[in-house]
Amino acid sequence: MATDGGAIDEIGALVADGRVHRRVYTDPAIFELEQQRIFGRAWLYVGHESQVPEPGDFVTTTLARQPVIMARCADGAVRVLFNRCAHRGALVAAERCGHAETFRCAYHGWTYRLDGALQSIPREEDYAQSGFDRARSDMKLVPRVAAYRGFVFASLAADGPDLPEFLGAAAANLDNMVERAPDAELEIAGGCFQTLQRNNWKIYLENLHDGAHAMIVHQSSFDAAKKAAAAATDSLTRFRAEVVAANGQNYEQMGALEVAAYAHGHSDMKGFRRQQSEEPEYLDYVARLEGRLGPAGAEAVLGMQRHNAMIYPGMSVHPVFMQLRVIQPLAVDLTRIDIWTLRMKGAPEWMHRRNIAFANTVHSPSSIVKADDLETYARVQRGVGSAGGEWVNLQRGAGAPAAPGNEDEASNALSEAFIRNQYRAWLCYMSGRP
Amino acid sequence: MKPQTSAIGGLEIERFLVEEAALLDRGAWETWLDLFTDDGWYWVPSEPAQSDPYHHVSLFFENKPLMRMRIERLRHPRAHGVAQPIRTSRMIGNVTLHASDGGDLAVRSRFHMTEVQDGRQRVFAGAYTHRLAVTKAGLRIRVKRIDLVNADSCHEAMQVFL
Repeated sequence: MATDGGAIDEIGALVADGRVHRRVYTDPAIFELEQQRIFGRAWLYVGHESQVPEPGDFVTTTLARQPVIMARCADGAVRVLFNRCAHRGALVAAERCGHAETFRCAYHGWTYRLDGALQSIPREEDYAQSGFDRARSDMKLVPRVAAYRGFVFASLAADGPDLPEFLGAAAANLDNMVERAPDAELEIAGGCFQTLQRNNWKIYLENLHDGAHAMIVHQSSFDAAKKAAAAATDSLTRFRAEVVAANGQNYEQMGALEVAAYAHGHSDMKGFRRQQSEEPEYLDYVARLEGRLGPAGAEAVLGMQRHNAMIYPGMSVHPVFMQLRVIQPLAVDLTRIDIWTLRMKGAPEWMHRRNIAFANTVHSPSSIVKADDLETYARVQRGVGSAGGEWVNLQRGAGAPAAPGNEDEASNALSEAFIRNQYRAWLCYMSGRP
Repeated sequence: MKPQTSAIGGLEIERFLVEEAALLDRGAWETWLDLFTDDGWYWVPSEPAQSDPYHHVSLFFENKPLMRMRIERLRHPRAHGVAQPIRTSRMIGNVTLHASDGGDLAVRSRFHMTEVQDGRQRVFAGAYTHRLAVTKAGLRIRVKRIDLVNADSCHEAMQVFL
């Protein structure tokens, strides 16, 4: 990074204590630099091992806008390849998911093994006198791939912290999802939502633990939901209404929710309330957890209520309702969010039905909660495009004394400390200090 | 098209669908909701040919109380997402009538809906499947299923009923 010290100074000037310059949301050059230095270096969630159970199974996605394939190879290992033919550069797999013995490019038929090794070229003799280097004609592997308890991550950088170090304390959220399953095993199930937001990716992340927006932004939906919850006559309708109504908590209640911020920009937030049930199926589920973990262990797992845990910069999970969101920045003012639900293997079916109902209520493009969030994000994006002010203020809750478990300041859901923590990580990445 | 098996005429069904579409285009959602039976459902799958709304996510899957919740939110003075009003225009065609289990009618049609908000225009198209109950008060919707041709695409917010 020595060659662009001037640019680093310029970036450093965009982030000050308790404020960021509007250019971080609007400048396409900064967005491109973020793709290289943040999304090009951090560990990004690629997919879940359950999506590729058998050798030959594959899914396609993008990492830092680059098309990749996650495949289960013949040796049983999950690998991540750049989705690019070594010949003329065409995308090799066009499907979202599938099963293949080999990857065959649709253009000239170059064929690769599942691990990307070049297997055959039609009429390879045409290259006999060309100086063609067959050994350098594989599909390229993404530099680093690692799985954490079934969650597959990749880094486009060859060096940097390893995955456990990167995840740090935020890994507890992934642990909690896995441990909630009676057999400690999860699988992706029930489809995926993709939603498009007309805002910079950071505006989305800056909202996830912002408890001070809920009573303002979501008043229309929680007012409607409180009525619906009171009138509901069946449990699933009541559940869906209560999930929306939960945004109607007051400042005091929000201020009581702890938010923890960790190294590398991660954070998580204590949940609103614990899911309880006296139904025999639920008690049986608890008994099975206790059988594996002991009563205290099961209580620790079920008692951990985290909301919208964030693994910066590309992933957010909601452990209680088994939701997984992948942040896909498309342009400086355009972001796609992919939302998946995980199913706990061995858990009662109604728990998956409830989690699907949660996804339908909160994460569907039609969500009455999300509608007002998306409107707000778009308004921020438009507002910061104005010359009516150079800085965005992030001082809320600053100056409170440090508390254990937090990176360097006390925090709750009314504080913008988690955003300040994100910008500490942002500045590290953008300055070339991973 | 299968032969018509009901005493209800095709014209009557077409008129019902056109009137339903007009209520939605006028934003008369409360009146529209009255067209549903009390056990009615509104379902927009998130995948083509999706068969299960309980174990797989849907773009919309709402019973009457949840539809009412959506309408209440749309009417709320602080529904920021509709500070700029949403206007829609629907065309319905290719109406076919099928017999259905339980005495209800199964009616399929194709639709094309243009939506405008704040100068931005988008198009929704696909198939409506109405399961209609024949009641003393007239036809009532037991299930309205909407299969969008782009059900599994990336979507921006969908705030109003399709």
